[in-house]
Amino acid sequence: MKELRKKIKELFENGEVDAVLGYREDPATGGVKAAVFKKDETLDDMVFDGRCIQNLVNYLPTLVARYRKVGVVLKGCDGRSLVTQLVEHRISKSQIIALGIGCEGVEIDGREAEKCGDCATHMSPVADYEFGEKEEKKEPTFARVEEIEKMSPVERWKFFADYFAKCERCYACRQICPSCYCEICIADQQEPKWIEPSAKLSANTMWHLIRAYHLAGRCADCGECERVCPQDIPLRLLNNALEKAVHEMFGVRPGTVPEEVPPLVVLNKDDPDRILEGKNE
Amino acid sequence: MANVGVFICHCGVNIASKVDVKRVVDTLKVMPEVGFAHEYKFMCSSPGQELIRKAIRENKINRVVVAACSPRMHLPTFQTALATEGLNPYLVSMANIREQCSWVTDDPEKATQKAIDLVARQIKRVVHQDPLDDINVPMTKAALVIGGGIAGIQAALDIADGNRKVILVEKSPSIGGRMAQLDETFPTLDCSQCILTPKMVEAAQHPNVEIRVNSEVKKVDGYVGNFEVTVERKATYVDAQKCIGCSICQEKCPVKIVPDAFNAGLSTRAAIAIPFPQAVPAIPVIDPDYCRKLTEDKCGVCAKVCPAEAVVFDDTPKQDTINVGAIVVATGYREMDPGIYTEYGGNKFPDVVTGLQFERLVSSTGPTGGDLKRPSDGKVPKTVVFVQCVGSRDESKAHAYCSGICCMYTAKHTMLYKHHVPDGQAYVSYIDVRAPGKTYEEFVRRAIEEEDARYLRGRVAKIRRLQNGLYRVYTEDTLVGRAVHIDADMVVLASAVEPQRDAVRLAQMLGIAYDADGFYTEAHPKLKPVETASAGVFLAGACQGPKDIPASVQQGSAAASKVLSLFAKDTLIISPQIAVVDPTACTGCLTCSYVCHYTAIEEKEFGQRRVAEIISGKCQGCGACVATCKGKAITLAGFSDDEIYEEIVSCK
Repeated sequence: MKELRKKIKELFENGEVDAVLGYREDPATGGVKAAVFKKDETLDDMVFDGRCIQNLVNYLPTLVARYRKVGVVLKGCDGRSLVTQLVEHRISKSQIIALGIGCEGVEIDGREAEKCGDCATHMSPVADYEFGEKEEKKEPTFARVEEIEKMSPVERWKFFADYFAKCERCYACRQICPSCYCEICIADQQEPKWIEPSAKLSANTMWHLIRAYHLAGRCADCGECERVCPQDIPLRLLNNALEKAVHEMFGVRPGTVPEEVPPLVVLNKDDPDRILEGKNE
Repeated sequence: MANVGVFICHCGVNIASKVDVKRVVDTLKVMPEVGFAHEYKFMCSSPGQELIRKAIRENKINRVVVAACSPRMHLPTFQTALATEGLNPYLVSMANIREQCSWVTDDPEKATQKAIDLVARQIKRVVHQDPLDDINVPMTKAALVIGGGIAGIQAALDIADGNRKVILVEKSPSIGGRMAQLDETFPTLDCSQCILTPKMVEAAQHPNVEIRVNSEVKKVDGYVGNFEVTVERKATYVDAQKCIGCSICQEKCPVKIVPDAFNAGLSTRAAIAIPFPQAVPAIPVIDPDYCRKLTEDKCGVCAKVCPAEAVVFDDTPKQDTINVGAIVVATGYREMDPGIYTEYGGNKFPDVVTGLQFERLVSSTGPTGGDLKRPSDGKVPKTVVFVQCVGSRDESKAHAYCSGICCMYTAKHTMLYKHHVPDGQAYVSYIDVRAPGKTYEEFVRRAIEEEDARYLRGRVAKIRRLQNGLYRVYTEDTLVGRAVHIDADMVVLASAVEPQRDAVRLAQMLGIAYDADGFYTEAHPKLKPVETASAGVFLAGACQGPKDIPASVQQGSAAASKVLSLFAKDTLIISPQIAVVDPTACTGCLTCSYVCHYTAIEEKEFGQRRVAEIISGKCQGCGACVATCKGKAITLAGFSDDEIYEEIVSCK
């Protein structure tokens, strides 16, 4: 933390950044909140610890439009989100200074967040400066997905239908997701109306499936959608199921390699073709 | 207000034998969108089209659904019918009730029901179709010809005579191709060089032809009318602008061990050499694998003796981009390496040569100066066996196809042989003699009857080298049913015609199809013999399949006429069914550009943002970007979400 503060001061003094996006103590709740630190502002209340669960990348497109150059504090998962943003031209690397922090896991309600168990990179894959330990990459287990896959289709449908029925279509999952940024979301389109706006099971199912498919091969598993869901729908499960499929087919985990274009939007001659090979389920 | 006319085709009995067309009409004409419905025996016929035109005039229909065969067959027919009556041609939609219904459904009741569903869906869809305007794009009226053999030269000369610029790209140091290597040509026995070199010179001197030798096509971008082709000139180490072609360098070069490709490897030449005496251009090239200056930094004699100071040892490959509107591919063929025929001793026995090597051995510009001597000991061969179909018509070992030219050139070889060695005896081992060209059969008869060639029907089993330097050819004479063997001084293998080694790579660059053998595929085997699947790319010569000189010249001229008729227009009309970006919905993620196979998507400014833009001339309307765009900011004109959605929700 000391080193991070020192580096940020240095960046401000050298005029390399105009603002730094990080975490600040929130005395009101005893937690932390996302905060923009500007030059000559105190960095004393800047923190980084297990409470810093928020993905800051979602704020970046707005900030880079306002400030010339923005420093950003990144956990491993946030860094993976950032890769997607860079590949999809949401942000240009020249607009940011990435401050990667070796993350030892973050907490929800005092317990380690579930997403940290299968974390692909504890250090941001994009980092101009690295702080703290850099752990080695782990192979994912996708344990939760495999549990669901063991269910019969009927059981599985019941499992999800019970959750989807509770969805109130607040779209918090969409708003918090850095990769959900369409100018006009498919859920808001009127002609043709792809998804009924009312919160009923069929329309809710449609929404969650489309959301998950739009994130296939792009979702970096920051887990924010699931965290913010007021109905506690296990949204990461859908994302992880697709992440697992992409990993099995292409050996890729989204966001772990800087500048890597998601495998589902590029065609390589040696791409696996399970349909042609007759291995499709 | 949409007023749809519905026309159901019987297609003779193709549709009507399974589908109750009258019931289809009766069921659909009550749909609120339908203002007119009719059936007819052949909608594609003139009376059939007139039905549509009359309904447009009299029943004021403004949308048309034709239920018939595949739109690939007749959509343009019906679009024209609409356009003739002043209706936008993109307001017609076709329901395929033949291939997708009557041909594949056994039960007439089910077929009729399916036909009703298929047509109803198109009625729902056509209401949402928008009128589209054809897109005009400007055209570069210059052509690229790839390959400087006789087909390419002919194509280039014809296009140039049509007053259009041509760039003729040839990978070797001279134009002329295979024909330059031949001695005399069938069926008239005129000297190949004598009839070819005037054309080579004409091409070199033509103001509209730019010849680029030692050059290869590296990349092809763009589309018909506007190709962008990257051409690389290899390092030749000789400045073509300065060189006066005196060939002193060639005489003085001490390295004389370079296998001479022009003489089919039968002789060697200097490391700096003009490929053959009549080469166009007559500029030498240094072989960097043999030149001692380039390999060991020694020697450099050529640079010292060159009166024009044209030798440049630090030459490097140079690339540039040329803009052309059409491309003629005339890359020719190569002779199959007979090495796989170990039983014939191809590549192993010095006096078992290929057809092309025999041409060189009897040529006055060849390694023996025109005296036929066998390569091993220089002896004049008194008995020669010509083996036909080596690699051709032999699926088990090489190729199933017939190489087409060998029957004729072998007959010619026997005559040339007789002229060189009047007391010699030629034998020909053949399967069938194929001589269907004009005066070809007479030519073969002349070889047999007047020039004493002995034709033995049968395949050669084995060739063995004897102690006395002769070659024992084991074959058969199936006409008398007897195994025979001939002790020959020399054997000539009519080795198969094969596509060039890099034929597939070039095809992939050009986006043209090729067959299992690697020959380029024409757009239609009968009706579009020089066109390809890629608009603006044409074929000429043996790259499309084995061909003799007359056929290659014909195809060169045919390709040229296609190019000239393309260039007769000032602009090109391309289909308006291409992708369109709604910039207000586009987030600028440019994922679409990753999936675009045609590099048709670029970035552009839109207010404060950057968004995707489709280059209309490049877009082929494949729809990959449409499917990829999560924000649905891209629409494929003619296949909008509205149209597809209506089609889907109208499914029962």
